[in-house]
Amino acid sequence: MKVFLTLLIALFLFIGEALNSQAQILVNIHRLDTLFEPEKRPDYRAFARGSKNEIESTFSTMFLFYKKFISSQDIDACVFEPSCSVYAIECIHHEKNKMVVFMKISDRLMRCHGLASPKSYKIDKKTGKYLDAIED
Amino acid sequence: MLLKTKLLLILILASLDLFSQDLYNHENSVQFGIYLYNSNQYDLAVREFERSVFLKPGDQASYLYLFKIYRRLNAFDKAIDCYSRFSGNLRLEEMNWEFGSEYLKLLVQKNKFQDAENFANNNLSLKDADNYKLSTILLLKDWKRAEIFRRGINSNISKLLSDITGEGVAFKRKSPALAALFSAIIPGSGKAYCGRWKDGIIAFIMTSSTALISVRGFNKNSGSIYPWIMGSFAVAYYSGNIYGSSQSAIKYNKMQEDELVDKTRAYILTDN
Amino acid sequence: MNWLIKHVLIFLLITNFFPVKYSYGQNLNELVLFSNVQYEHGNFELAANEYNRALFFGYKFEDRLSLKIANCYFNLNKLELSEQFYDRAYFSTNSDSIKTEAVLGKSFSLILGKKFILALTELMNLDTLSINNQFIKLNFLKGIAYFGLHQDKFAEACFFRCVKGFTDREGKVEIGEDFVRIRKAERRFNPAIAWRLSLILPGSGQVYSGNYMEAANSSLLMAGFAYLTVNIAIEYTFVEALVVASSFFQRYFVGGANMAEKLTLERQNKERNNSFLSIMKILEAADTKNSSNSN
Repeated sequence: MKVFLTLLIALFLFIGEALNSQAQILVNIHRLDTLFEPEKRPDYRAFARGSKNEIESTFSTMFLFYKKFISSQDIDACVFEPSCSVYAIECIHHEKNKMVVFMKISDRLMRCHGLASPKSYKIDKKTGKYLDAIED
Repeated sequence: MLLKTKLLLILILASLDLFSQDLYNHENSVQFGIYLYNSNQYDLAVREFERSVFLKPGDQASYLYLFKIYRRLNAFDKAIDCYSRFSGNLRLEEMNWEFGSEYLKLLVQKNKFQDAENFANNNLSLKDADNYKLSTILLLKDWKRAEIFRRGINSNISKLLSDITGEGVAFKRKSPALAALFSAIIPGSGKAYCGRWKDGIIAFIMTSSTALISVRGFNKNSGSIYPWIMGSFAVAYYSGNIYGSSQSAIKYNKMQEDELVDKTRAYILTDN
Repeated sequence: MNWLIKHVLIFLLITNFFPVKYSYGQNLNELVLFSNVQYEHGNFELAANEYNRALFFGYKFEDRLSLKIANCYFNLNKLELSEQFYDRAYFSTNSDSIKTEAVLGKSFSLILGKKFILALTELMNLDTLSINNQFIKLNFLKGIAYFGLHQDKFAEACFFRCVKGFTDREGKVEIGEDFVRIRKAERRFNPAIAWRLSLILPGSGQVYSGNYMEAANSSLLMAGFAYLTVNIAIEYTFVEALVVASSFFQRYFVGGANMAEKLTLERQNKERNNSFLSIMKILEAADTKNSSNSN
């Protein structure tokens, strides 16, 4: 009896598959729809939001202008992640000690060169660049 | 006679029926849960152990597995909730050592080092407590206290932890103030002092060249805007380099110490 | 009769003491039936759980269950676990058909994770397949993997074989047209040409790629840098102008050319994606047609 039942169910497992494959061979074909979708250009507007005063909004506008019309024409030269311009705008928006904002930015610009040593930074696995956020 | 046969038949059928309930009983649920846990199917394992603790509320092993799974899934609150369901309270000092070592790992995983130290000191039943206590002091980067603690105990201490303590005490820190002073005198020298001599060279070149161009511009044609632009670049680079040098010293210290912290962290988090 | 009862009682006692293997049998069958129903209804997590239970408590067909679990995880988009179970199905079976299914499933998972080379190496193990369905699936997956690796000739051949399996003549022509469109786009938007054009005249590569805004942007920027260089050279010395402006000039000069190259590649990829979606539609149509014919 048990042997019979087991065989019956095994048969069911098989028949299920067989029926399925007769109905449609290329199941799940729609999961491939987004496979070769072109990558979207990065959107930097999020970094420019949340300005608290006129100075910040001026810099935000300058940042967006730079990203749109100047940086887009540049070679991929920055060695850091986030890039120097994003670092600068984040510094202007989020750094609590306003005295050091421009010191931090100019220090960062001086550190951004091809000789930067991998010993001093952690490496971002996705982009292969050095990680250097404003917090640390 | 016929009655007896019928009774017998019913008995046979009933016993078969009884067997068939077995798969979902407590013991099998635990076994199955362990299999799921070992094959990395954590989402499914959670269900199984939750059922097994429902079937047998006092089952420590299942609760422990649940705790481990929640730790792996990085769900801090659920893990804590799991322990309080097991023990009926949250008195951490009374936590037994199986949960205790897992709880300590959870705290370390979440970088709550101060809580980890308090726990290691207050919990009464932690096995190998001296090693744990020493590692929590190391995680807090308190090298001197770790050294005193290491000398004060006689029991076996892990060689790795002992080495880390030694390295931490021997480590020569860079002074941020000194780095800033160096950079104020010669731009870039503070960076070189912190071991980033390439950064130092670039900083020196950029500061001095902008300053030079600006000075020459003022001498030649003081009405123009270029020397002002270059001059402000020079000032920004000069001050930025002083600030950056002190930050480099802080970062240098942090990186060296973090390496030791990471080693200690790995020591605690490995499954032994 | 007493004798009979005594023996039956002994039998019952023995079966009670050795319940595990003996009694799970029927139970596991019910479990698998239940899981099958759940699978059919799309409750993949529950199905995976119960299949796992059946597997753990010693259901006879480890290979088939592993395959089912792998399919569940595939549908739940947990690709790593699905690969793990496809492997388990592969190594626990003696049946060639199941081995093939496992390899096909694993390759599909790998393709979804964009690991095309790994997928191809898996698929290379399956050479000659007697079952038509598996032959179609094999060529379908191979085609996609080759397409992902930009090996268009091989991809085209594989998709052709796939359509041939469906005995669909029109599909072959349409797929051929799609690949013609890709090749046309590759000739029309040649990144090397765009790059060189932009080096000769900034902005011309962008015009070639059909992106006039970018062209204006690039040429204006370069004009600005040229003006700055000349201005500094007049006011100071030529050497200073070279030192200050040349590095910027060089960067944006090359940057503009790189941009032109990127834009042409973007155009190509857009065309590739469109053609790919069209090929998928053709294959799907052929598939439905084929299944309705066979029924």
